[in-house]
Amino acid sequence: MRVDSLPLVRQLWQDHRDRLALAGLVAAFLGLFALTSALTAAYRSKEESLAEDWYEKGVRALDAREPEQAISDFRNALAWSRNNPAYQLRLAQALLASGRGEDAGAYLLTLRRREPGHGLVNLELARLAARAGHVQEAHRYYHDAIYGVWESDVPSWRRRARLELVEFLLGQGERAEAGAELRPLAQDLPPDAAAHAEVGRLFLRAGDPTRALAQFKGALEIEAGNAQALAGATEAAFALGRYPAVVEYGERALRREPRSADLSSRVETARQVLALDPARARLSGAERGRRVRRVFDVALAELDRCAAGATPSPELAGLLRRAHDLRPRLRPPALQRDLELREGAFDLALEAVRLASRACGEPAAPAPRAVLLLAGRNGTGG
Amino acid sequence: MAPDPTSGAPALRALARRRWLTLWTGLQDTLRAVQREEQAFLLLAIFIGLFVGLAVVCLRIAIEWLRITLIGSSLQPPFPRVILVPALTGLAIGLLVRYVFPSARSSGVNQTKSALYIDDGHIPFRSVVGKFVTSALAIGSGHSLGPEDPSLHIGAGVASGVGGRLSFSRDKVRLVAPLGAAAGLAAAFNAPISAVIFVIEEVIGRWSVGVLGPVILSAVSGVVMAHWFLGAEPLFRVPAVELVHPTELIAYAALGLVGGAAAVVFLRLALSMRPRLRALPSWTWPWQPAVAGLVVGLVGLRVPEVMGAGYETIDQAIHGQYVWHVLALLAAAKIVATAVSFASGTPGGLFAPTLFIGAMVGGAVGGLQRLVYPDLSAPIAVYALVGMGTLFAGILRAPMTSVFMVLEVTGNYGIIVPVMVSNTLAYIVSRRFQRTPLFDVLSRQDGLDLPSMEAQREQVVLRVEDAMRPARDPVLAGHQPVSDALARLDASSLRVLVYGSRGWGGVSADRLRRLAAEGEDGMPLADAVEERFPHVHPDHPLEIALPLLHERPLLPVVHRADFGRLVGVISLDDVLRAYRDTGAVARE
Repeated sequence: MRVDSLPLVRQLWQDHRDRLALAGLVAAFLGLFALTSALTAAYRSKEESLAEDWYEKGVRALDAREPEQAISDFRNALAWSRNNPAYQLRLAQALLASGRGEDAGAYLLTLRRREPGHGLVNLELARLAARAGHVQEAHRYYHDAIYGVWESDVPSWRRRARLELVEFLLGQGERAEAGAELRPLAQDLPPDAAAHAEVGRLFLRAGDPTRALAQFKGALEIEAGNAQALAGATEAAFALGRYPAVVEYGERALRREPRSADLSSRVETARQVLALDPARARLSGAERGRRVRRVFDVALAELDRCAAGATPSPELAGLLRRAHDLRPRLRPPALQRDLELREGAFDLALEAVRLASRACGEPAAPAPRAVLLLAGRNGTGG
Repeated sequence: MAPDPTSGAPALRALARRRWLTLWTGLQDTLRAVQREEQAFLLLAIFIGLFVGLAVVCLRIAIEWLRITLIGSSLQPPFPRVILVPALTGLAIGLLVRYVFPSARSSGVNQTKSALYIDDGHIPFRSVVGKFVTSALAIGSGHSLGPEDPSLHIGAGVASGVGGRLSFSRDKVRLVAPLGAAAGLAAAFNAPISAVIFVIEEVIGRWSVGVLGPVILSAVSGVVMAHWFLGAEPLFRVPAVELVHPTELIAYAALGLVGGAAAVVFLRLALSMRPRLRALPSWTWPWQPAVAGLVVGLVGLRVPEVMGAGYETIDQAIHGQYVWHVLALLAAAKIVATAVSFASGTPGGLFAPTLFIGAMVGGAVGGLQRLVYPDLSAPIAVYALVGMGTLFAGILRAPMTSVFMVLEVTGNYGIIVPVMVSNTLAYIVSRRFQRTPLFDVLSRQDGLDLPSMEAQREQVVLRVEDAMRPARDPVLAGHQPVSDALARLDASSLRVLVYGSRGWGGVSADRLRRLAAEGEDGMPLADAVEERFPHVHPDHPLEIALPLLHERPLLPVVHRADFGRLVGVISLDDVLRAYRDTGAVARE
C-alpha cells in the first residue's frame, strides 16, 4: 500500500507543485501566526501587569510625598506602557512635586498635543505657567482646563480650576478680571458652606463685598455656625458699613474664635460707630447733642496726639486752634438747641480726624477709628 | 517513380513552417515561464516578509521577556544583578557561540552578502536559530547591542529556508536572502523605506525594477506583521520640530563634525579591539563575552541607561530629559560598552547603539551650543534627532539610509535639511579618518572578500568622451559622389566616413580608387558604403562601446541632438588607452 502510494504522491506533487507549495506556505504562516499571537498576548499581559505594579507603587510614593521615588516608579511603569497618558500625567505631577517643572512641562505638552482638551493636563500646565509668571499662557491653560474634558467629578474640577485662576489673577493684581471670573462660579456652587465661604473670601479680595456678603450668608444658611463664613460676613459687612450686621456676625464669630484680635477690633469699632453716630434714626435731640460732643472729644484727642508727636503743619495747627476755641461752647443744652452749632462741631470733628489720619496714620483704637469711619461715610473734605 | 513528398519546394515550406511554429511555441513557453517565475517570486517575497515579520516579533518579545526575567523590570537594575547577569549570560553566550552556533558571531549584513555573492543564496538555518537565541540572551541580559542586525540576519536566514527549497532560477534564489534581510530590518525598525534603501545600498548594490519590486513587497509585508503585533507608531515619539532659521545650519554643521569624530572614535575602538581579542587563544573565546558583560555591568552600575538597546533612553533624550553633560557622559559610556560588547563577539547589532550614541552626542552638542549661543531656538530634541542620523552616516556609512532612517523612525520630516547637512559632514569626516567602511573591515576580519558597496558606489565610470579622439578620416554626406571623397583623401587616410539616411558607414580608400577606375566616380557615397558603423554618444559608458567595437575599426561619436554631427571617433586602442591611463586596468 505504502509502496503503491509513493508514485501517486510524487505524481500529485508534480501535477500540482505550485498549488501545493502555496498551500504549504499558507498553512505554515497560519500556524506561526497563531503561535505568535499567543506569545504576544501573554507578553502584553505581563507588560500590563508590570506597568500597573510600578504605577501603583508610584501613586503610593506620591501620596507619601516621596516624589523622587514616585518619578522612578512612574518611569518604570512607562517603560512597560510608554503611551499610557495616565502614567505620563502622574510622572509629570511627580516631577512637578519634585520641583522639576521643565521636565514635567515636556511630558504635559506631549499629553496636550495628544488631547488638547484634557482638563487635568491643562490645569497642570496652567499651574506651571503661573509658577513661571507666564501670565498669558497661564490664563489660556486655566481657561482650557475650565472648559476642558474631565474624567469624573466634572463640576468640582472645573470649580477648582476657576478658583485657581481667580487666585492667580488676584496675585497679579487683576481684581476686576478676578471678579468677572468669580461671578459665574458663584452661580454654580454646590450646597457646601466651605465652598460658599471660599468664594466669598475671594469676592472680598476682588473688592466686591456685596457679593462676598451674599456668599457668606449663603454659607451660613447651610451651616449656621461656620466660623469662616461668620468671620467673612463680619469683614464684608464692615466693608459695606453695615455695623449692626458687623456686631451681630462678629459676636457669633467671636464665640467660635474668641482669640481673633482682628475680629474683636472690628466688632469693637462697629460698636463705637453705632454708639457715636449722631445721625442714627430715632435719637432725641439731647442724645444727638451728646454724641456730637463725644465725637468732638475723640477727634480733638486724636488731633492733640498727632500734634504732640511732631511739628504740626500750619493746617493742623489752625484746625487745632479752632477746635480748642469751639470746645467751651459745646455744652449739652446748646448742642441740643442749636442745630447749626451741632453740625458745625460734628463737621469740625470729622475734618480733624481725617487730617490727623493723613498726617499721623490711621488710628488703632476703636473710638477714633469709628469717628474716621463716620467721616468716610459722610464723605466731606478729605 | 513517384515524387518524394519530402523533396521539392512545398515540402521545404512545410518544414520551415513547422520549425517556425516550434520556435514560436518554445519562445511563448519560455516567456510564460519567465512571467510565471516573476509572479511567483513576487508572491514569495510577500510570504518571506510575513514569515520574517513573525520571526522578528518573536525576537523582540524574547528579548523583552529575557530582560524581565534576567535583570528585572526596573530601568535601574538592582545590585548585584546588574553586574552578575551580563557576565554570567555572557559566559553562556560564549559557550553557545564557540561550541553550538559558531556562525551566530558574524554580522548579519555580511552573512546576507555571503549568501548573495558566495553561497548561492543559502544561509544555514542553524545560524538563524543561533542568532535568535544568542542575540536575545545578549540584549535581554543588558549587553550594549541592538536587535536590528540580528533581525536582518534572521530575516535573511528564514528567507533562505523558505525560498531555497523552491525551484527558482539561480539569480532569484540568490536574491531571496536580501529579501528576508529587508523584511527583517523593516520589521525591527518599523521603517520599510530605510530597510529597502539599506539593503539595496549595502547588500545588493544595484537598483533595478526586478530587484526593487520584491524587496519592497517583502519589507512592507514584514512591517505589516510588526504593526499587527507591536503597534504602528514610530520607534520614537518626537515633538513637531522644524528648522527655524537657516543660520542654524551652522550649528548642525558643527554637530556633523563632532558626530563624525565620535563615529571614528567608536569605529577605531571596536575594530581594533575585535581582531586582537580574536587573536587570543581559543579557550578564551567563550570568556570574552563574559568579560564584556562584566564591563557593561560595571558601566551600568553608574549609568544603567547604556544597558540593552536603549530605546527608552533615546526617547528621554529626545524629550529633553537630560542636560548636556549627562548626554555627553551617556554617549561616552555607550561607546565604551558597545565597543566592548561588539568586539567580544557577542551576537547583536550596532544599529540601535549607533542611534543611541547619535542621540546623546546630538543632544550634548545642542545643549552646549545653547549655553554658548542662547539665541539658538531649536530644542535639544532636534539635535538629538539629527545626531541619530549623523552617527548612522558616520558609523554605518550608508548615506541615503541615514537620512531616511531618521525621518522614518521619528515620523518627522521637518528636519530633513539639518539631517542632510550633518550627515554629509559626518560621512566625510568618517571617510577621512577611517578609510575602510565597517562592514568591509568586518568581512575581512572574518576572512571573506565580499564586494565593497562603498567602493562600488564610488567606482570611476569611464565614458566614451574619456577615450574618443578627433576623426582623422574625411567626413562626407551620403549624397556626395565618390569623386568628392577621392578629392578629400590624403596619404594617411584609410577611409572616408559617410553619414546618410541609413546612418553612419565607411568606405575604404582602396574601394574608392577602384570605383573611380571602373568609371563609377559619380556614384553616391551612400551606395558605396562597405561597412555600417553604429554610433555612440560622448556620455555613454565605455562598457556600451566595447561590444560594438568587436570586428569594427572604429565607432563614430555623435551629438545627441544631431546624429549627423560627428564629435569624434573611438577605437579599441582608444578604449584600452583610457583604462590604462585612469588605472582602471590595474585595479581590475
